[in-house]
Amino acid sequence: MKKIIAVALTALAVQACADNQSIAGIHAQVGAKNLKSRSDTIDVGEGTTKQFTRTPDHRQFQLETGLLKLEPVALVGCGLARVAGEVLGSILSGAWAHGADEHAPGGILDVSQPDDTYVDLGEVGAAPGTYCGLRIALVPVTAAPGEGEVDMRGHAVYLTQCDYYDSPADTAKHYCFTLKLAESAQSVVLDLPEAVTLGPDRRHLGLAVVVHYDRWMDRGADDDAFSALDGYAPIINNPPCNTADTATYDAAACRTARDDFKAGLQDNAELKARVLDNIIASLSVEIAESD
Amino acid sequence: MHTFTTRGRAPMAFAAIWIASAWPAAALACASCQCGDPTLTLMGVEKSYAGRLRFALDYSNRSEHQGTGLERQHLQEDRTVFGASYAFSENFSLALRVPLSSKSASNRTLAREEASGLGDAELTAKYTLGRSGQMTARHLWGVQAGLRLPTASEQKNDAGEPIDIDAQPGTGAWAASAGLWYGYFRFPRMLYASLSVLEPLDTGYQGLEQGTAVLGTVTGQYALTPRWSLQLGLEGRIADYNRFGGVRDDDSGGTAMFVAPGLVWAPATDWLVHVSGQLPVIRNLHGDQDERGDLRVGIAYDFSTN
Repeated sequence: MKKIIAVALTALAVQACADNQSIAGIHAQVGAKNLKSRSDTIDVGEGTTKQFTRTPDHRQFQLETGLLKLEPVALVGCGLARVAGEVLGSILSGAWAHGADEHAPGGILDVSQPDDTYVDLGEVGAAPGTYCGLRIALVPVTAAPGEGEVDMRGHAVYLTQCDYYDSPADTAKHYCFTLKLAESAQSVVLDLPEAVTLGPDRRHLGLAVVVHYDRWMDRGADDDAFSALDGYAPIINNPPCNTADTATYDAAACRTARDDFKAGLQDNAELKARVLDNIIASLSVEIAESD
Repeated sequence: MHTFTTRGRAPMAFAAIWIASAWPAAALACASCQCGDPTLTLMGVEKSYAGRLRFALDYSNRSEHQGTGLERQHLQEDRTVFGASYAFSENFSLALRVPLSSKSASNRTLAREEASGLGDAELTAKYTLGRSGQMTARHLWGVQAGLRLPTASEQKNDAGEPIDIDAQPGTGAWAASAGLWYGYFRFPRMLYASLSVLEPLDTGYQGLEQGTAVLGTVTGQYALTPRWSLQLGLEGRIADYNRFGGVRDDDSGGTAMFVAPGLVWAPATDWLVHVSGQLPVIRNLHGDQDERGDLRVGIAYDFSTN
């Protein structure tokens, strides 16, 4: 009996002397930043740092507001694991919007801020393994806006641009429009620059999603696309908006034409789909840090 | 002043062997989750006699899984409980249980939290309302009430940050319990049943608001010899969801029932050693939870203060 008691007391002593500890799991800390991808993109903004999107045909849109709600979903494996992840991702498309607990809550990047503005999107956990990609999602905002904030509810992208169709310097010749995009979650797998193996010896990976906002008005949303839109011609130095032609210029009719065009533009599903495709295509990821 | 003397009762008090029949299942995701009647090990179901003082030392090991995917947690606990009970009369006894617990919570990302320390102590009173049968009182029944005390301190890591609640040795919250019990004694057989409600009285660490739980036990015992007995019990729990800061934890609460076979050995007068296990038979738990069985060993010793 004494032996039994001794064993019990020894076990108790061991238990009482155990240390408390927290060991971090394998995870990727994910952030996002805005960055021009073209060297010839112009920054003009009356002494400010307002950014401009630019189409390849040198058409310029002044970016007033560019908000993206991004959520990192998961690290994606290599080879077959990546294929499986792609399939699973397509099946579960939209599942990130509500309730899934393996992705971070995300953050909103304002690309109208100076380049390299960094926003923390949170972290995603991962099991030990080798990873080749990051699945990221544009997820509609559900929370009500705070005071002075843009109401993004129901959309993952809120984009306001002004088209200075004559010259950015000619502030009279412009119109502004807002596109609210991504009413459902959209996800994409971004390739890591190199395969990364994570395990007990390497538990942390820092990733930065880079948003090349100057590509947003590229394919399908460029000058050709705008020129083909109904109602576009009358507001571009043509009657009734051609101020040089006093015979045909009609300020009121021009305002009406612009308003009609803007309304059609903001509801143009095809254009919105193209811009959203461009936004998704403008994303890349780089390794920020690793230990 | 009492003089503690052991009272020889040979063969080993049949009823005293019973004490291992309803070992309290230790807590994991919620530090007070338990199955069955947590008082029996210490207080016994035998026909108590005034002045009996019992000490018990019990150890249990159990594990549980919660959640899905990468966040699926493996929870494990090693729990040692010191107990002392005293019978003020044939009908009334009081017990104090003080747990020491080592817990760990880990998941597929290799994240791990570990903590050890004093758990939440429990004070329990048991009263015999009635008895019937022949001279030996074949049937006994009564009431029991308990109070769980927030004696566990919130454990922190080296950085001074609190360890996750799933790995905390205790909840740090008050809780009260009340219930009924019944015993049937006919050597070499015994049967014991109890039903109690555990109601948390306040909020624990990290905003934990435990759900109300109903705990039940039905255990039978058969004495093979004066020193060896077999046990077979059914232990159950029906619990409401836990909440954290008012938000429901979907992976908490539900119904669980376990079969608990056991073996009790009386190596010497007034000494008991018991080994038992818990095997799940019903696991209708909320959300994603997988509660496995446990393993329990313990010793108890009786004094008489009369």
